[in-house]
Amino acid sequence: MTGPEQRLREALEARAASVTYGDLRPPLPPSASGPLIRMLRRGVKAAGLLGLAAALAAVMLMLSDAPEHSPAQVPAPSRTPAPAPHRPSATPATSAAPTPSPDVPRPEGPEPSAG
Amino acid sequence: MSATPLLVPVHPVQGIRRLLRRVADGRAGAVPVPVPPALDVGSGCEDIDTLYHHRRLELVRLAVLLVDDVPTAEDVVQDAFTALYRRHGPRLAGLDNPEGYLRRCVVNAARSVLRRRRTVRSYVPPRTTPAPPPEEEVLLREEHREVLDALRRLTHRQRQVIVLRYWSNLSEVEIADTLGLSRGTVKSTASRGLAALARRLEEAP
Repeated sequence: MTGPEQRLREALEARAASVTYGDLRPPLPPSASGPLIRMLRRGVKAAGLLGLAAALAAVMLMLSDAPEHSPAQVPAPSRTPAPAPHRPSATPATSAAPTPSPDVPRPEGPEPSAG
Repeated sequence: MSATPLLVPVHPVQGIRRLLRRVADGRAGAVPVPVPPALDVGSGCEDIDTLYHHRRLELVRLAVLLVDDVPTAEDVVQDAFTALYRRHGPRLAGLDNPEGYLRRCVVNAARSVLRRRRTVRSYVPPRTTPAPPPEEEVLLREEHREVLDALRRLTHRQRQVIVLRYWSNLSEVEIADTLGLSRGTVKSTASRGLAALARRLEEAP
């Protein structure tokens, strides 16, 4: 090996050896870096999956509750109760005012004259 | 082609802090280069965490030789691992040579860093001499500093080829694959880079 090459190797080795583990920052492998970001990503994914599951469940629930009707079917009668027939009350109504009826005979007597 | 000196954006306080820590640990002297443990590359049994713990330091060292300062080198390597993770997942599915992928990412990102620095330099007054990192100034011997100084003055491409050839010990084919060049270009670039380096070392006082 020639002079410059030998000197070069020695100088490079000396410079490289001047860097040791003690000079480096604490090790942080990329798989362990950014735990917060990874946790957030996992949270977003979990929330997305949960949302999807909830939406699917809601759709299933709606489909199972919906009445099955086809165009040929007659709509079922309403189940709302009809108005009940009027029952006579045991106590007479006091508030009802008597109304004149055409069948009521007029009282006899001279008719008042106009003049 | 002439290379302009590189500005090294290392905060002096950070370098001094690092140096003090090393002195306190008794590591201020010459440190032997530890050989990274061998990985069963290509078997598909390693995951990104294993690769990260086994190869991070080596890749940071490679990046330091390309971008000069440790914080930027760490950023470059972290980005490379993040890109690998995003593209191939934690199990590195469908990747035959994860180390080659990482090396390519690091070299490309280092080139982008150097390009950005060159753009910044065109807007600020140039400095006459490159500023080496503070820890390098203290820890490295004078002759090593001269070589590294000469290395910084090479073109980006020459520097990459030289570092991959003489520090990573890659073959010409591997360097060509990493840099996306032909084998002939790698050979000629290495030859010219080495010649320029030798010339600058001779010129050095």
